[in-house]
Amino acid sequence: MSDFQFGAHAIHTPDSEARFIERRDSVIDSVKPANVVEGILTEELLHASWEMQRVRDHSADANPAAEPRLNTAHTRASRNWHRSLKQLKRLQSARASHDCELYHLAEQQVASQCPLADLNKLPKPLVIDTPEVQ
Amino acid sequence: MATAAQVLANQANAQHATGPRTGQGKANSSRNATTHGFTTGVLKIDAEDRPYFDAVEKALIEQIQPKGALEMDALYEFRDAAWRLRQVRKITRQLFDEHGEDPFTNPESEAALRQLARYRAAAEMSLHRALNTLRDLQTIRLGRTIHLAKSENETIGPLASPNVFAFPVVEGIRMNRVARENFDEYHGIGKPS
Repeated sequence: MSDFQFGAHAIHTPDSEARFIERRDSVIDSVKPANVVEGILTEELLHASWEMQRVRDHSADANPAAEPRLNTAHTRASRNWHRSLKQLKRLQSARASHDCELYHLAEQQVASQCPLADLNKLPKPLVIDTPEVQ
Repeated sequence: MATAAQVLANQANAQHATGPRTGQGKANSSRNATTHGFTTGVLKIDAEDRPYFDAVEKALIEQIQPKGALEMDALYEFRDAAWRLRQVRKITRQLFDEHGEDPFTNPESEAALRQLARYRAAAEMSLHRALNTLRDLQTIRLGRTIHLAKSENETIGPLASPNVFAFPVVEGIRMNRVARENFDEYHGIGKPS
């Protein structure tokens, strides 16, 4: 993940650049993306987070004519923030469950070829002792 | 104003300008009017961004390990949507650099920003939908490999939901949920003693 371009093309002024970098590092630290899919979604989360901050920054001294634009921007950023966070939670849960829930080596090998598979949607192993049908 | 001789010379020269001839040349000139590439099926990748695009694509394929045409399609949808979102940010940043004011508050950027918002909404929807589809396809693939016998893999449709795999086969009959519950109740399975 070291060569992933986090925060590329973000809008910040010389005044707000330090705050942006702080936020970028904080978001990355909160998510700790481990691969490129998580990286792409972390990028979305970061930009949504920064856009909401920009809206808050402008809200204090906004021209009334700009308010509808700011409201629309905030709604859009908020939606993308929630969606990206939800996807990241599902991705990291899937990654964790692959490590924890697959006990058999054969299952682990198959699961490593389906890294996005959601184990919660799979039936649980059937290990009951089925009695003889009378 | 051009003289009659110049007009004739221009017309004669124009006969030699017949446009691109090779397939590659025609493909190149077909993209001459492309500005941001959001409304076309072909991604616009600037030359300076090409190495990064290729690296991201390679990493995606290595990580997701798509198998089959459907997973590849979903992966390309995901890749394209992620790239379009990046392009939207790049163009928005250019607006900021041109006007020196945040596009959120600059009335001059309003029309462009509104158009970009539409492209962005479409790309966001595509990104999340493609990821959900990839997850579903890989869940089915994993479920089939773990829970189905080889003969069942050949007879049950490849996109069948993993939930159907939950039911045990008793005396050659795959039991549905109701039959399973009746079976368990009859044999006292799962009931407190």
